[in-house]
Amino acid sequence: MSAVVQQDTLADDVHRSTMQRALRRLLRNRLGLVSLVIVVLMLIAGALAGVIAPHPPEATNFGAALQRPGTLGYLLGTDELGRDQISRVLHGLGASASVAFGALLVAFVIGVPLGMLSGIYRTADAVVSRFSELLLALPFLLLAIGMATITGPSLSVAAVAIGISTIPTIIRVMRVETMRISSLDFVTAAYVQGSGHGRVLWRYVLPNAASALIVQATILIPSAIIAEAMLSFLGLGIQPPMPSLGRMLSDAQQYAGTAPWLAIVPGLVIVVICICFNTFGDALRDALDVQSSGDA
Amino acid sequence: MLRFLSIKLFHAVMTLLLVSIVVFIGIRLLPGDPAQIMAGDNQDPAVIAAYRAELGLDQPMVVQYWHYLVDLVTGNLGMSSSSGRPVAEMIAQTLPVTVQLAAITIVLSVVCGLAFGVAAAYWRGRWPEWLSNGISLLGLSIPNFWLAILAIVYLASAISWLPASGFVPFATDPGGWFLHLIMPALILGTSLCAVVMRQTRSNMIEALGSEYVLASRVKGAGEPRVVVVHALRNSIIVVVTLVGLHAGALLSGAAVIEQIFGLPGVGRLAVNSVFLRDYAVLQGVVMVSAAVYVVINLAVDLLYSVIDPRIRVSGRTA
Repeated sequence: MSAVVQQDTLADDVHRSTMQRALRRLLRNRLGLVSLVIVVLMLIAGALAGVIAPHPPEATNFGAALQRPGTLGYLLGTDELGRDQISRVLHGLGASASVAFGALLVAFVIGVPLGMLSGIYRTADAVVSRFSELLLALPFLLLAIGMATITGPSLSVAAVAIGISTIPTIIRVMRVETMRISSLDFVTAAYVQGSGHGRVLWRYVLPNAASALIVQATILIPSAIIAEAMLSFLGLGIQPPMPSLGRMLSDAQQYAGTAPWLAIVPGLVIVVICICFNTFGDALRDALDVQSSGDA
Repeated sequence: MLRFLSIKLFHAVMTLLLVSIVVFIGIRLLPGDPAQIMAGDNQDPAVIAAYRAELGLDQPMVVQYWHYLVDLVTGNLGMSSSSGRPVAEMIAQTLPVTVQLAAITIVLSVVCGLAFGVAAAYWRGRWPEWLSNGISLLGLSIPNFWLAILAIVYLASAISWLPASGFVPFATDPGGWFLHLIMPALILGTSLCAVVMRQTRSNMIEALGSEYVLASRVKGAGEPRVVVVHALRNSIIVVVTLVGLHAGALLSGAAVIEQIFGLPGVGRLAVNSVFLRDYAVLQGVVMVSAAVYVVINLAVDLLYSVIDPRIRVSGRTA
């Protein structure tokens, strides 16, 4: 028993110092840090939209419709119904982020255990592979459309649909990590000391796969944000009057000639948060020294 | 080789069967009882039961699924409730447009991605690498439908010969066909191009530092030959994988791009069918796209075994 405890503390020590080294590397990467700060600020702004937005997002003011950015009281201008654009963008950002994080949660909760199983057991691998292929064969948009047809379009349907189509990626990353880690000497040592598969997976594989999973998350969040915007753009995501960035872009199409800011601002917000997420993800990948998983 | 292909074929059929089960269950989960809807105002239980028998809904689930499967295999995808035409015919009409769009997109983004990826790896730390990294970051971060809106509003209005929307069949006017598809394809391909670029760059960096590239240099091969014949060849297989993995995303993206550019493709058909509550069309599109995805990946597996003989022997993919 004491031998097992000793092994655990040893693994902890190795793990901690690796993390410290990674953190030092990350702190030296200026671009990565700036991106992280912008991402955090944008996420906070989106989460606190209800408090910091100058106007309620649905409040119309027909006297001040299609105002240019910079108009007094409407910093980023107004749309065709006189709704304040900055308030709508903030609320939309919050909704997009919650869909993206919800999708990631769905993908991790299902993908991580399945990935571990298929990395350890050959029989499970065959079954999980078929499951992955099934999900890959269902294009994400059609999955979302199908689910929206059955239950009606909503924020949570968008999150679940995006999450389900992300599962194969998580399974693949977790499977490779499980196979890599379980072939390492300290895991063999744990088996020799009498640990079962369950303990090895929980105590050694999962903590050591964390870096790869975190890096994957920073890559998947921007694509989930874009996927949500795409669904809302088609009218299949967040439903009006709740503001969403994708919906704003779709509404802006008919005014793009006369009121270009309506198309530019929500799009730029998506681009900026995605660029920052991707840049931070790259910095994190370098700092944690994680191998690229083959696709983004 | 034969063993490898038969395993892949077996997996493909399994995947399609699973998709058909999911679609079948999905249809059962749809709100509303079809028999009740067909009965209309006459909600007499006997009438509803008659309709139910006519639709085969009174039979056990397994039997119903079997009938559904037989219909699928014989190409009977049902009738569209909005247009009254056979779903198979509507898909046969729209699918070629999407396939042409996807084909141009794949060619453009692979060529572009390979060129920039190789340049970034070859001139490391110089401007080609910065340019390539910048482009791939933008490609991954810009929603392509946003780019599409901006392109229509600003580009198409500035360039008079570039059509902003619509489609011309290749047979009628090859030039017009290309002009109508080039902008949608370029925009649809941004993310695939970015992914190919990144992957090519990291593979090429590894390849250019390897001993076999050094060996070919020592033996006096010229730089173009070293880069293209020796280093790039090993990166191609990863690019092929990426295209296969991206096929699904491409189909999803095509739906939005078709919607914006007014291309009569299968994605647009699917999106419109949601708003028309045309479930028959929807499930037909899901089955056909799954089949397209499976066929593309079979082709990818076949390509693997052509490019890399090791896979042919071991029967495994990387």
